[in-house]
Amino acid sequence: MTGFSLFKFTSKWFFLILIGASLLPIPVMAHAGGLPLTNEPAIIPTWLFVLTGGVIIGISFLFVSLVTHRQLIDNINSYQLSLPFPQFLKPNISILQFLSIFLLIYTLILGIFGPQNPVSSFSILFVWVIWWAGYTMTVYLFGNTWDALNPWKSISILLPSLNHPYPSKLGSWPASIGLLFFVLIEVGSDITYSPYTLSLVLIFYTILTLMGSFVYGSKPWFENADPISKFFRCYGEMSLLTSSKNSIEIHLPGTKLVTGSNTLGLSARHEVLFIITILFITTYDGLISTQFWNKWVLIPLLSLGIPLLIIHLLSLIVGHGLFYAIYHYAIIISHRISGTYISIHSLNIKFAASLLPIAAGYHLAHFTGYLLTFFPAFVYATFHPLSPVPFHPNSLPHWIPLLALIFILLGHICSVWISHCISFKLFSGRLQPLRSQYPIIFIMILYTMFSLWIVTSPLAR
Amino acid sequence: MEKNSVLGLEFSTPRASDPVETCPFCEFIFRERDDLIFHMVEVHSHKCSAKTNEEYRRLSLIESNKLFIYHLKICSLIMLTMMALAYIYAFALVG
Ligand SMILES: [Zn+2]
Repeated sequence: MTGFSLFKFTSKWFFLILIGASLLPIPVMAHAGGLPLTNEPAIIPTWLFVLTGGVIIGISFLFVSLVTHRQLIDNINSYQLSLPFPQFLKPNISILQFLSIFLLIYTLILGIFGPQNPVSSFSILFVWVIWWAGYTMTVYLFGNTWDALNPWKSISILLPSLNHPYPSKLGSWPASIGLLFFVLIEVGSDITYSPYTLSLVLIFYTILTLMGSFVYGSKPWFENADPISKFFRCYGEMSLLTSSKNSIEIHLPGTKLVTGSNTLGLSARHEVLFIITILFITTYDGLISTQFWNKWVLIPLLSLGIPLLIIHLLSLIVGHGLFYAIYHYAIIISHRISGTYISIHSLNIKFAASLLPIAAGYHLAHFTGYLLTFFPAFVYATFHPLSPVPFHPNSLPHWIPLLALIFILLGHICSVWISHCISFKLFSGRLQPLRSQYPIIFIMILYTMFSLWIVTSPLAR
Repeated sequence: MEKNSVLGLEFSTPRASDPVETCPFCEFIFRERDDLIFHMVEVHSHKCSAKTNEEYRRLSLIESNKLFIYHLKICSLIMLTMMALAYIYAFALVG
């Protein structure tokens, strides 16, 4: 028994040290050059910077592996702070739903008839800066509010439906393909800077979504097939807050993924595919804007006469398949190391939840600067929706790129912790869960280095 | 391919030559008896007999000793990595 309490005691301390130690080396990297948002000269070379990132993740795993007492793991994960939440502060859902439908129509109309300059267009700024960057942050930080606010869902509930049973064979496939298609449009068209295109795509999406919910019913459609709803539901699973009747609970980052009886409620492989898709699209966005991509992939393929859209489509499919293959391979190795009878299929599904914090960290890193840069432009466009006067985006404080690196690393460290907790749920004893994590940690280290390489690579344009 | 009530897991069917230990309280199967004992006490502690608990304590103690060595290795690995990184930094920044 003394051994136990000793472990409990030491692991508690090591866990605290871990948090301190993993934050320590970061200021050193602040001066790494080549970041998209700074022009500071490089003080340490990129390879060393990338290596340091990998080492931080590796070391965070080593520290985490000192926490082996199940009770302590449960205590950390179920740690929560309850704050009272008075009834009168609760927002009126119907008013918000009405507002979100109004905003959808307003955005659509302004996109077509409003100013076409992106930084003075309300539509562009609202959809990309406020919704895609800002709102998504609120989902993985504070919780999924999209189910209540989704304007398409509110409209579809009012419409009649054929209520055909949703084919279970389809699963999340329409959502995964929809999300990839959405990224294809984002990189392959002028949707990010042309309000007119944005409105056209919105109309297209509206028709498709309302048709889907007309055929299969609102609830099955938005639960299974709608990519945006599923995207927000996945992110909402890792939020810091949960609300109950008259209080709000604050959790440690990501721990909601492993508390309760099941992890993320994933039940099938196609749902893993969706999480891989979320992870992949955040990386893909960054990758294709690097000079490396231009020089080694885009220009050679274009010179072969392959159209740009086909290149984007192919790279999306190949990249996505590659991401899934790497993850699946790590799971196979993990299965072999642990010697467990739990099927590879089940391990694949259960460990997928640990990838979400990486995606969230990367999103936060990618969009914090973007949000801060264009937010004043959005405020201006809100009050002058028809004024074509371009707004000059303000320049950011120099610590924003540093913040981005911290977010990427924190996302990965959180993932290391979540995968640690998952393996302690799946495997018995204390050594087997630790050993089974090696392959997953290995791909996380590689992925961190890849992400850091992308953010430090010079931009193409 | 049975469904398990604890975590909703699927199990692969072991070959006839493989050892199988089945949990009496759920559908979990294991290769080794030690893993089964760990599982029984970790997941179904209130259902276990005194004998199982006794065996669990004995196995835990053995594992704790192994874990101690494992943690020693990890601590040295942490130290080694830090030193290696410091070394690389020194060379990269000075050279
Ligand atoms: Zn059992």
